[in-house]
Amino acid sequence: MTILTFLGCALTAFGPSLALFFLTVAKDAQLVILMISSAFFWLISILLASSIWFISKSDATENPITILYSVLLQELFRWFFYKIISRAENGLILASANPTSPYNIPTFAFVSGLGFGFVNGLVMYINPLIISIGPGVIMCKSCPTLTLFFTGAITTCLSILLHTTWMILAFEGYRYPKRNYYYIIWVLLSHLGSSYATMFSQSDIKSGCVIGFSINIVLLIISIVASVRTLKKKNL
Amino acid sequence: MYINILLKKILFISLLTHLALSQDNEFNKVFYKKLVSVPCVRILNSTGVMGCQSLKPTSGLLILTETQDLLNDFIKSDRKGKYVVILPYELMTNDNLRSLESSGKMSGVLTLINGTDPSSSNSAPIIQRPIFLSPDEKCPSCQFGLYRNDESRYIWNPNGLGIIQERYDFPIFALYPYDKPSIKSYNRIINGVQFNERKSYVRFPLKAVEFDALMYAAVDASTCLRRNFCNPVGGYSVYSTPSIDMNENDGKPIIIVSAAMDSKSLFQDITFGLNNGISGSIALIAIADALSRSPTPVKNFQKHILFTSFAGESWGFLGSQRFVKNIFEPFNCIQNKTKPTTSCGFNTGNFGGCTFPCFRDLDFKRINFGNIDSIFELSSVANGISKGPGNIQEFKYFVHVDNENNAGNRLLMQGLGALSAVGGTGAGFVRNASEDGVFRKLPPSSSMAFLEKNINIPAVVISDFQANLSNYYNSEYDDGSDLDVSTIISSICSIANVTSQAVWLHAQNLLSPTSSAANNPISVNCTLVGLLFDCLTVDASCSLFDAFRKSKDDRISHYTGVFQQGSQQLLPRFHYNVLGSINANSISDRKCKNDVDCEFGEICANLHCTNSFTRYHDSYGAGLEFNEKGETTIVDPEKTTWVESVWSDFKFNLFNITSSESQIGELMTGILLTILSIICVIFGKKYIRQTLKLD
Repeated sequence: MTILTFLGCALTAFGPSLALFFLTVAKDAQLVILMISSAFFWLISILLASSIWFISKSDATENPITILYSVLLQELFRWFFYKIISRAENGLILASANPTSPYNIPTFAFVSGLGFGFVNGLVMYINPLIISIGPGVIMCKSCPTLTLFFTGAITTCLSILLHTTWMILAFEGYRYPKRNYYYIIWVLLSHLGSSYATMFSQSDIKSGCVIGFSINIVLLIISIVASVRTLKKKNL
Repeated sequence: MYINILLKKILFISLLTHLALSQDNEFNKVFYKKLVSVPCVRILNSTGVMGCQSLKPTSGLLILTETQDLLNDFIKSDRKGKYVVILPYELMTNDNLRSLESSGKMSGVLTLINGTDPSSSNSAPIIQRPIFLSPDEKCPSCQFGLYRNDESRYIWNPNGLGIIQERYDFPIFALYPYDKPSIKSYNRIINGVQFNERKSYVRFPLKAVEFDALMYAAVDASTCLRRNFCNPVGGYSVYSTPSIDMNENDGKPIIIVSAAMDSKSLFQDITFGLNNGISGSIALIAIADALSRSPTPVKNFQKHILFTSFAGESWGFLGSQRFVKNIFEPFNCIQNKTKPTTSCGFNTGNFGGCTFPCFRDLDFKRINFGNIDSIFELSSVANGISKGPGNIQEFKYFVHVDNENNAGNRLLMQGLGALSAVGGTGAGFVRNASEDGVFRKLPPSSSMAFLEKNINIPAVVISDFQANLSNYYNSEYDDGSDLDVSTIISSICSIANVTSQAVWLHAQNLLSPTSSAANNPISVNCTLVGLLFDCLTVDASCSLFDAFRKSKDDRISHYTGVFQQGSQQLLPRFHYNVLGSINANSISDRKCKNDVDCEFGEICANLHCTNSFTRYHDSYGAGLEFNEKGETTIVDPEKTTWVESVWSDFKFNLFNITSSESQIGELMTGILLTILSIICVIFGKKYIRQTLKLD
């Protein structure tokens, strides 16, 4: 019976990002490689974050602090990744399908973001997803009609998409010499905001998970609009 | 907690990416609460299968049906889905279990044996303790007894539910709170039921449990023995005598004092057998102790006295039949390698044993079956005291015999009666079981094995019951909680006292219908009886146990267990050490841990090398034998061939489940979201291309 939950949650969590991947990235081998390398950078950041957690063993109550250093580490590695890509930029542009297009860098950013987000979703959600095959569930504390599997799936779905847009904005922000600090600050703050917003799910606030999702969706819409705007600017 | 566990996992995941294949116990614990499992297991014999089995893990919503009406309503109802039904033990009839099975709504049964309502303030019991309840057959083990071919044999257990011998292909677990973990489990389950009731079984999530009790055995005993998925039910009997020099040819008659040391019930882990098992063996030890204080040492009497404490009597007289078979039939040692082999682990050279057939020692040959003079058997004797008029304690025990016309039987009955007469006059409190005019012959007892070979041996079975076996025969309720401990102790003590005096007189050929207790120097130490009672029931700090036990359980299981060569379980070890010390000819200062540490002929009893004729004796089905390779085979399918299935481990978890509607909802959301995303991506790409003028 609960194969239904498993399929439903798997599609909810990874359906949108897989649609993006197959319809845009999958055709281009160069982009797939880029995506995998960005995923690797995210893994290193979370390895460090979990090492800090493991060593400090500050017990269950310190979730806000855990989120803080995890997010900061992820952003740090996003920057490292940007630095690496910007060094390899000329080569990458030369090898791309259309070396003269002004949209090569945003495309790299989009693909890297997808890789960053996808591995984030996979690592965060694969464990609950596997357990969801079994008959047992835990209900979400703030939304007792939804299972933790399902709220986790929605959170995962949104965080993959958010990571994709953040990468586009961050690349734009780090762009030398016209650094745009607004973008950088926005990425950092919205990342922190969306991470803290997930804490609503397990809070005592009624329909807290809906609040968390709404915050994430608003952040996502703003980020998408901002991303599209950066692309439009390039066309001027 | 959720996030922390997640982060901890991430550390490993980052290093090892094959996470999907790894079993995730820590994370699972969040979703599945592990419960203490007290399962019913699969037992087989030469003709088939009984007990419980679940071929695959099953789960169901918790539901409690306290009464027969509620159960009937449940069976008739048109509820959807699978349920785990909590049944009070009284409702565990075969009919109920079969109709539950055929209703298709039941995935497992939890038997509610006792326990209180955790939500009530005065901790009221959820169910009333039944006045009598026995899961055993109406005539237990009768098909293996002396009267198996007797058409009109007496039905000893008319209230027996007869579910121990049935085959159930679904899991049955017990709810029996008695220590911290089991109380915690019990409370979780009862809270779960009450939670479901509050939600009327419609507002999900609801509480469900999951069972896994896979038994490897199938078909019958010979099949599963061949496949090596079974072990013979059994253990070790203990025999002991103060006559250190007893031998086959000394011509001295032998008086046997006998009792059963263990018991059985549907759920082996919680088998207690206070009346049927513990009480008789306590009396036996108390008698041995009383006789050891005889002014003239009993080994100098005209007759030998042999104490036998048999294992596995509830399983068709495993201990007594095996013992009688070995001392009755001529013994041929076919092969003796004197060293341990793969098929026989004993250092037979050290103890004078034999490699095939495998025996550590052959000292049982020193007991000449032809010399057996009489048998005193102590059956259940814990409940011999009742409150008479004016709240005066009334003692009443009954003597059962096979044939009242046997002069030897008459002498023993009259002698016991006379010795029990208060003040030496009138009728004693030990009476003939047939005093009500109904002659029932012997109840299921160890004496039958001896009478099988020689029907003329005088044999008395002494018990607290007259017409029906005790109220909780082979039941989990036989734990003494319906009785007062001091009453149990004085009941055991008083019958042990009379019996010890009778044995003492009889060993000197002095027992007569007019024997009087007045000048008898033998008396039982009731303090010892109390100590033994504590030791064999609950007391982890018992001084008699301390010497040799390893584990300190709160509760000592009296289930028979399985026979494993050379490895004795707690109960036989207890009897061996205690009887070995009591019947010791001499106890040395030399410390020891086991028999190997002592000299030839000595045993290690209570950590001292002791010169004592006390031995273990194998106990397993009379229809089973070990072959030269050490494998168990069935040699006589007509006799007892009980074997117990092997299993890996039990799973018993509590968790929440959601309705199938909400699961379908989740699936639909996922599908819709994916389709929507595909559409969005396609149109999004078009939009981007147009606005950025890429085409």
